[in-house]
Amino acid sequence: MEQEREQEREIVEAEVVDSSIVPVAGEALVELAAQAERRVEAINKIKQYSLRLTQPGDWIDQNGRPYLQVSGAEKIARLFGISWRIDEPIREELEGGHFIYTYKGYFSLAGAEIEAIGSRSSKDPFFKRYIYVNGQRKELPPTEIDPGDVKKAAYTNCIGNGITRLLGLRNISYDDLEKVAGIKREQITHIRYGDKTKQDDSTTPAEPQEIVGEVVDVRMKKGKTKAGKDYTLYTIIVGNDQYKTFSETQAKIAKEAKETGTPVAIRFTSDSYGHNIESIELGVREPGEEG
Amino acid sequence: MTIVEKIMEAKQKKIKQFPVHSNRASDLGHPCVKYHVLNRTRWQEKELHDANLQAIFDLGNEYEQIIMKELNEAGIPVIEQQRPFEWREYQITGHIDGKLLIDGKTIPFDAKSCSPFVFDYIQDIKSLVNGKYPYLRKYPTQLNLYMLMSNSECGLLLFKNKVSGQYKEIWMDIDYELGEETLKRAEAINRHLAEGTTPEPIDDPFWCNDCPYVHVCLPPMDGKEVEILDDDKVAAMLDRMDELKPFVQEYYQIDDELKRILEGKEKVLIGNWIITGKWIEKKSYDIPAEVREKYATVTRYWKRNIEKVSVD
Repeated sequence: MEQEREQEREIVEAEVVDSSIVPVAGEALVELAAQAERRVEAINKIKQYSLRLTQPGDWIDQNGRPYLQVSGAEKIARLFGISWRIDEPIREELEGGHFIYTYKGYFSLAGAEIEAIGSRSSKDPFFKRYIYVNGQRKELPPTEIDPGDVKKAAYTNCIGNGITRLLGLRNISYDDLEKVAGIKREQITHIRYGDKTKQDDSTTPAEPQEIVGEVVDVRMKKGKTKAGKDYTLYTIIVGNDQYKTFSETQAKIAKEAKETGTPVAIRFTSDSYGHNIESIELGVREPGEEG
Repeated sequence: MTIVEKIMEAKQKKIKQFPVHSNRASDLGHPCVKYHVLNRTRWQEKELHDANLQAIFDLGNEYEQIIMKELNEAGIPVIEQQRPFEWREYQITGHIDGKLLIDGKTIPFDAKSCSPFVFDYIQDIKSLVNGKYPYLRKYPTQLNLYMLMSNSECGLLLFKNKVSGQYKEIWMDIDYELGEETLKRAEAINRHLAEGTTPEPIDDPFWCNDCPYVHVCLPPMDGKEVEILDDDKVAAMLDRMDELKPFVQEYYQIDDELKRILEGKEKVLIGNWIITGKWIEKKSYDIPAEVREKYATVTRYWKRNIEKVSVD
């Protein structure tokens, strides 16, 4: 039991930032060190509990690592009583009519305080607005982007950053997450619909599944069918899996996701040839999440 | 694009924020004056709802039509449908779904569609005043304002279960105390607008947690820090209590059922059990409230709430 606890302690390192350093000596120094130790221990315990409090739905996969979503972070913050105050945001104008909002916040728990910022730009694909003209997607100008949405996302981003930084929940590995919280990687990245046993039954039509993740690569292969017709097959790689589509539109969305580092939600069916994309959607993250 | 995606895109296009030039009756139940002031002055910065919620709103509008049709089919006359109201003195505006004509009286009413869960939850006006969700708590204020504006002594909230189609009627008598509170709120909002000031926000997680102006209001969060107890014995007791919970519930369920079955039976032999019973008379005193108040004392007790936070 004690050994287990020691192992758990190793998982998360305390991220304590004291706001000022005061010169001290003698016994006062010893007392200060003891206080700091107690503080670190308290925060470490809270971190372990925090992980155990989360559910698979509170996490998403980003760059192959689990990332705690803001909704999950807020849940933890409320329970443990993290305090914060947020400064008025700063708006900066960017080229082409775009803009960026930045919030700065001060987060505290168990006597430790950290600063964190959160920002969001109207350039983020999440906020882009499109219209479809003759089946072609056309991006609307930045004036069509709702500044309130961008601002709220920057605020949420700041809250999420502050909480996760304070609790040291920013560099968690899947091993740690499974060990401490019992949450496995496949619970985060795959949202399954229907019964898996049915999917394995070749006589039953495959149930659509959904994967949420970052696009690692988009590959294109041209060829001819047996009937001599030209085709272009696109392979979109997410994690270690490949998803195929003949749709150029879907491939373009995947390419955009890859370039901007935006996660995608791919709905697909599987057969003996692999995974076939039904739909692909950009910006599945919540406004305010990092990425 | 799939068909569903196209539908949701169409929903998304409907989501717009319009200027707010008055205190809306449907919103005045929100207790935070700062929220209302921001709603009037910084409405452009309000966080917009998403397409999923828009889909629910759209469904609500469709249901409103169904409710009107079914009232008509039932022979209940509805007059002044969607009539706009304005109370200029307080800058309050709104529109009422209609007035029912019953026994020569006109009764303001508002039609609401809701989920089966909410439908079951709503029992009376109190269950709305203390509603589980902010939007439920706004309904009585809204209806009360309609009553005040139309000099009606009572009003009706007609709920329709979106799944079963069943109806539930929640009647409300005019509440002058609530009316005064609402009008004072409207006055406070208007005063801040006139003076160009912004009031302090309320500090209530029930309203603040999902406030669409939280990023503008920037309320400080003063969390109550948790104390972590390293006590394996207490932790084991809580785990055991949790394990026993289903049995306790079953015990009381069976006990209630047996009470019902065996009431009035003085001596019964059944299976391995003999059960006896008798009527017990209990004396009670109906003391007028003003007399009881004289003898009131305040005691205190520790109210605790046990919630499971991790599954392992």
